[in-house]
Amino acid sequence: MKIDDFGHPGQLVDPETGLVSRRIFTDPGIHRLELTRIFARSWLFVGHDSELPKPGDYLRRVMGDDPVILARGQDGKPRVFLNACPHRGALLCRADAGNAMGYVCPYHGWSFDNTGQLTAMADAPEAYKGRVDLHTFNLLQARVGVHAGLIFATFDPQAPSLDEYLGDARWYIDMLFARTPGGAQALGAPVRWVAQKNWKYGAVNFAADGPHALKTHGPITRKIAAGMPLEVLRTVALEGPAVRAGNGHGCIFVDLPPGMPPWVGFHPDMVGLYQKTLTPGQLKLKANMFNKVMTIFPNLSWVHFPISFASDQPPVNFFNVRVWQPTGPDRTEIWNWFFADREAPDEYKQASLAAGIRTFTAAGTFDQDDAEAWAAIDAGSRGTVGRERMSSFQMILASHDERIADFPGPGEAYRSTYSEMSEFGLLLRWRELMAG
Amino acid sequence: MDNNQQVDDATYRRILNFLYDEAELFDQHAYGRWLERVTPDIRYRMPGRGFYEGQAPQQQFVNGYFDDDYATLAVRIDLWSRPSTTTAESPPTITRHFVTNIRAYDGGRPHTYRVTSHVLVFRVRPTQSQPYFFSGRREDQLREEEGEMRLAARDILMDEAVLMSPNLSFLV
Repeated sequence: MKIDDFGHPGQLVDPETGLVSRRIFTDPGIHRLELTRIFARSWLFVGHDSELPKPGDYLRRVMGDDPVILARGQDGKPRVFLNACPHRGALLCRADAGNAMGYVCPYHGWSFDNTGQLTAMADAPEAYKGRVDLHTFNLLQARVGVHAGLIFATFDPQAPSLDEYLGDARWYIDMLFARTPGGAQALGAPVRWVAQKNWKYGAVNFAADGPHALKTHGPITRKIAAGMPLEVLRTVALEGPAVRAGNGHGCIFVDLPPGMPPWVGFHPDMVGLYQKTLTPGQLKLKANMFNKVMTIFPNLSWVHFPISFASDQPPVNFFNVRVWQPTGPDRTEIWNWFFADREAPDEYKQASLAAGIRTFTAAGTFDQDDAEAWAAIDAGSRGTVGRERMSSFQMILASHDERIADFPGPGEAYRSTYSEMSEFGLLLRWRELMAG
Repeated sequence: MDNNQQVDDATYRRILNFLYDEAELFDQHAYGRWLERVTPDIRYRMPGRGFYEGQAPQQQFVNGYFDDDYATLAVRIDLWSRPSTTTAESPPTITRHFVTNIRAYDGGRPHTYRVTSHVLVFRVRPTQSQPYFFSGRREDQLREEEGEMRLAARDILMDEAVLMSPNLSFLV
């Protein structure tokens, strides 16, 4: 199947006009093709170092639509295997997490150690009379790369190195995941829920979309960000930079509202560690930006900002990390974690986790409204007439010439989270890969 | 199955009425009136669920969907009270709470009770005609103050490992 069967890539995502066909968010054929062209060729996030602290720890994860096992071997190395027995394809790991020296197939009892080697067959291997090379039955192993504790994997032998793939995005990743000597840690296991939308709406929204913050999240922001009036939220969102970090990665920053001190919401002891660990440019952004939102192409995102639900409590930063798993053209399984600096005191971590749960989960005061807005987009875009319409990212036409010359970070920074430059950048990368 | 003593019939009846009344308030979206029936020190929690061999691993940090106190519940409820401050509940979603398997025990201190119940919520959202069912077990602490029953703590054990609803803009 070719992308041309669905319309030329230039018609589906048009860099000249900023128009995007709604077929790319609804068409089952395009969805199947992007599993091959996007997900099977990209480095995908599968977990964080802190989630498997001990040799033998394993996690059941997903890459595209394939189940995988992320395991730490006795040698301490993380490995990723297709979670399928090489014999007949049964899932080997059916628990979400655990610790094991190996895995046993539920069907014929074939056994594999946690480096993927076949170690035993329930039936007599001699019955093969030496005519089958049993080494061909080792687990299918993906390439694994780790940056700042984030573990990525790909089954594509042609993919560039993870360093090359992440490129300039590493500078922004490090601002959050490697801002202290110990780095970040996941606070508990991810929770999962199914959203009624195409995965790209989430990825693009976190790449990120500034103006929806005012409509969808204005009321809650006002309540938990020290009563920030909507006019102030609009101003800081309008002036916050949007960054194309290359290869489809993108992020936005929102300036601190007037009256909010630098480093609001951070633990003071941690700020000292950031100052020792980060570069002056990273520190400048970190101290003076209220909100940080990013998507690593194709489907890893995070959001980080300070909130307080009660006026007598100081603001605390939450740090939400999520993956938009493509479970269908109109369905996305969201995997949702919260992170914190390893060195932070436990009370701070607990407060940060609670702040995150109250905002960015299916029940969260931000996500519950996003969910309905995204479901409304899906419901409005699926019809015979509706899916032939174009979605507008035409703010890029007004923003190409608004590049910020003296931005402290790498990539291309544009004035305004309203610019749609960084979110459209993700779709431009999508278009390149889908072209073949 | 529990060491605590079950409450007497009259107390059981008051607890039953409390749980049925709150289900009615939930389904009427009368959350403000529900908030009058909780204690100021309430903890309202719903952790995530998963599949683990044997016992679930003890985790220092428990991720989930709700970890609320009085102030955060009040913020949610205030947002839901006006169409202009909620997208998820504008128009209000339709819910029906079914509360069953209610057991009530002495809470260890005077006028306190430990109550467990099963809850099933049938729900329809305006962008999806297909209904969704939430299923779970609740473990509550109730306190009777000046003759009024109040909810002091609720832990909800959800029965899905993957929540099949895009959002949870309602209480259980």
